[in-house]
Amino acid sequence: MISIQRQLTWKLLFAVVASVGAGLIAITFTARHELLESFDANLRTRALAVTALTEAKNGKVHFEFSPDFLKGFDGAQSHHFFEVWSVEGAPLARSPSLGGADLPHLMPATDHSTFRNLDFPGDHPARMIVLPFQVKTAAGRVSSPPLWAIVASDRSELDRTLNGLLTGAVACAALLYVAVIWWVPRVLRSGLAPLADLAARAAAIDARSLGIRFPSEGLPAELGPIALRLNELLARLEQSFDRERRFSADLAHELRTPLAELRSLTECAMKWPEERSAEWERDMLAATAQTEALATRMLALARSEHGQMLAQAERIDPASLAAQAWKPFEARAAARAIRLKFDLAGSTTLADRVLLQSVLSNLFDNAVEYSPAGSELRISCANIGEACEFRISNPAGELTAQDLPRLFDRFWRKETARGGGGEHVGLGLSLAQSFAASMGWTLRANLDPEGWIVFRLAGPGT
Amino acid sequence: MRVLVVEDSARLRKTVGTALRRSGYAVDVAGDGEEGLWLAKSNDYDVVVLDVMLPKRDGLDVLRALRSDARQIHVLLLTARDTVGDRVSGLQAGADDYMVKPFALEELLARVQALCRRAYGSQSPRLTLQDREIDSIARTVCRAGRPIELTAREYQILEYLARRRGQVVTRSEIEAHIYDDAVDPMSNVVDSAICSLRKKIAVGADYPPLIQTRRGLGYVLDPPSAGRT
Repeated sequence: MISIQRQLTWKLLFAVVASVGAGLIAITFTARHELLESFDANLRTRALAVTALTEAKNGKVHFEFSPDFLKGFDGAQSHHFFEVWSVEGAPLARSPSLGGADLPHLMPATDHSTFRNLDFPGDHPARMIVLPFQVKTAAGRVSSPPLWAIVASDRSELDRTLNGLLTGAVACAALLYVAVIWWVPRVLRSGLAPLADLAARAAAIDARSLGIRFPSEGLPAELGPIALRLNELLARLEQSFDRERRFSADLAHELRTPLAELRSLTECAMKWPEERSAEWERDMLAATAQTEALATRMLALARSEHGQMLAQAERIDPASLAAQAWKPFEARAAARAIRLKFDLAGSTTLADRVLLQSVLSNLFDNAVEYSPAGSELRISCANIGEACEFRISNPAGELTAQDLPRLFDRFWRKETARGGGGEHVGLGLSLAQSFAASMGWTLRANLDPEGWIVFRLAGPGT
Repeated sequence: MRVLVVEDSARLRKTVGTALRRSGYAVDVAGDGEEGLWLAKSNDYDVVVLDVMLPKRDGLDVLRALRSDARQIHVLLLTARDTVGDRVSGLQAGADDYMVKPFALEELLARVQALCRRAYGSQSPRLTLQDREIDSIARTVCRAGRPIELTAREYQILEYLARRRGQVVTRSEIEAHIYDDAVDPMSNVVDSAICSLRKKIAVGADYPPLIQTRRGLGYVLDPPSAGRT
C-alpha cells in the first residue's frame, strides 16, 4: 500500500539533497572561477607591466626594469617570475627570481595571450601567462618582429584556498544532509499526525461502533471538511444500520409470534384434548392467516421494491375507484361509529387500476382501524394543477410528529397498536408507498395543526 | 403456585394461561405492560412470564420497575427477540430466565416449575414427607411407592405447604398462591380443599394428621412435634 508519509519523505529528501547539492556545487564553482579570474588578472597586469617596460632603441630591444619593479621578482623566495622571449625562441630578459633558469618554452599558436598551468621544480604548482606583444620606440612606432612576455606565479596559495573552499562545501553538504534526513521525517510525521489520527479512528470503526464521531475541533483546515463529511456519513450509516436492525427484530417478532401461537395452540390441544373447541380452531386459523398475510405482504413488498411489479397505466375515474375501494370498509366504519365525509371530484387520472385500488384500500383500512371511535374520516379527491390528489384524513389519536419519519418503515407500528393479533403487522403503509412509487405516484403523510393525520396520494392527471 | 402471564398476543396469552392452569397453577393474565406491572405489584406471584415488546410499557421497563421495587419475584422473559445482545440485556435487567418464541410448551412449564422451586429455596424436584414422596415434575404423590389420587388443586396446596414445611401458612397466603382472581376470597375453598387433602393423605386414625390447624393462624405441615420419619 502506498504511504503518503513515506512518499513525501522520499520526495522531500530527494528534492532537498538535489537542491543543496546543486547550490553548493554552483557556489563552489563560482568562487573557484572568481579566484582564478582574479589570479589571471594579476598575471596579466604583471605581464603588461613587463611589456610596458620594454622599448626599442636603435633597432635593439631595451628593458627599463626599475629596482622597485624588480623587487616583486627578486630572490629565491619570490613566487613571481617573468621572462621575455624573441620570436626565434631566444630569451631576451628574465626575472632575478628565476636564478638563470628558463620558464617552459610553450609558445601559443595564436597572437592572443594564453594561460597555462605548470609545475615548478619541487612539485610547486604554478600558472603562467604567455602574452605576445610588439615593442614600440619612444616615438610610438612599432618595431618588429614581436616578442613574448611570459609571467608565472606560484599558485600553491590559490590551490589551498580552492581546496579549502571545496572541503567547506562538502562539509556543509554533509551536515545539511544529516540535518535534512533527521528533520524531514519528523516534520512530516508531526504535520501528518492529524491525518494519521483520522485514519486510525476510521480504521477502528466497524458495525458495532457506528456511534463514534470524528472530533471536528482542532483539526487542520484541510481535514475539517473531511471529518464533517465522515461524521455525516456515519450518522446516515448508523441510521441505516438501526433501521435494518429494527427491521430484523421486527420481522423476527412478527414471524415468531404467530408461529409461537400455532405451536402452543397445537401442543395444548394435544396435551389436553378436552380444551379443544371451535374457538380454539378459529384461533389456529387466525394465527395461520396472520402468518400467511405476513408472507404475502413481504413477498409483494420485495417484488415491488425490486421493480418486479409492472404497473399498467390506464385512464381511471378517481372518484368511482375511491367509492369502489371504500365499499368493503363500510360495515367496519359503521360498527365503530366513524362518520365518513366524501368529497370526490377530479376528472380522470393515469394509474394502474389494481395497484391504485390496493393503495386506497390500505389507507382506508388503516383509517378505519386506528381512527378513534365516533370520529370523522375525510376522503377527498381533486385535480390540483395537472396532478390528481387523494387526501385521506382522520384524527391522529396517539400519533405524534415524532412518529411521522417512521410511519412508512417496514413493521413500524405505534406501541399501542401492537398486540391486536389481527392482520396488521406494520407492512401496509410500506407496501402502499412502494406500490404508489411503482406507478410513478407519491404517498406522503403529515399532521395538520388540528391534530389530524393527512395522507396525500398524488399522481398525474390527464 | 401463582403465575402472572404478561403477553400482548391474545392467542398466546390464552394458550399459555390455559397450559399453566391445567398444570395446577393459579394464573392471572395481562395484555400490556402497565396492567402487568400493576398486577405484579398488587399480588404475590411466584413467577411472572413476561413478554418484552408490549404496548404501553416495554417488558424490560416493567422488569426494571419490579426490581427497583425490591420485589422477590421470579421473572421469565418470553420473547421473539433472539440475539445474544437481547438475551444479555434481558438477564442484566433482572430476568431469572429467558425463552425465545416459538417455544415448546413442556419446556415453558418445566422452566416455570424450576423458578417456583427456586422461589422456595429448593433445587430438588422431589419432596419427602415421612413415608410420602412428592414428585413435582410428574406432579404425583406416592405413599410407600403407591400413588395417592389428588386433584390438581389439592396437589398444589400440598406442594405449597411442603415447600414451606414446618411454617404456619395462612389461609390468605394459600389463596394468594394457589387461587387466581377468579376465586371469591370470601369462599371457604381453602378449608374444603385442606379437609379433602387431609383425608387422602392420612395414614390412619392413630397417627397425628400431616397437616395441622393452628387456630386463628392457619395450617402447618409436618410440624416438628409430629415426629418425622
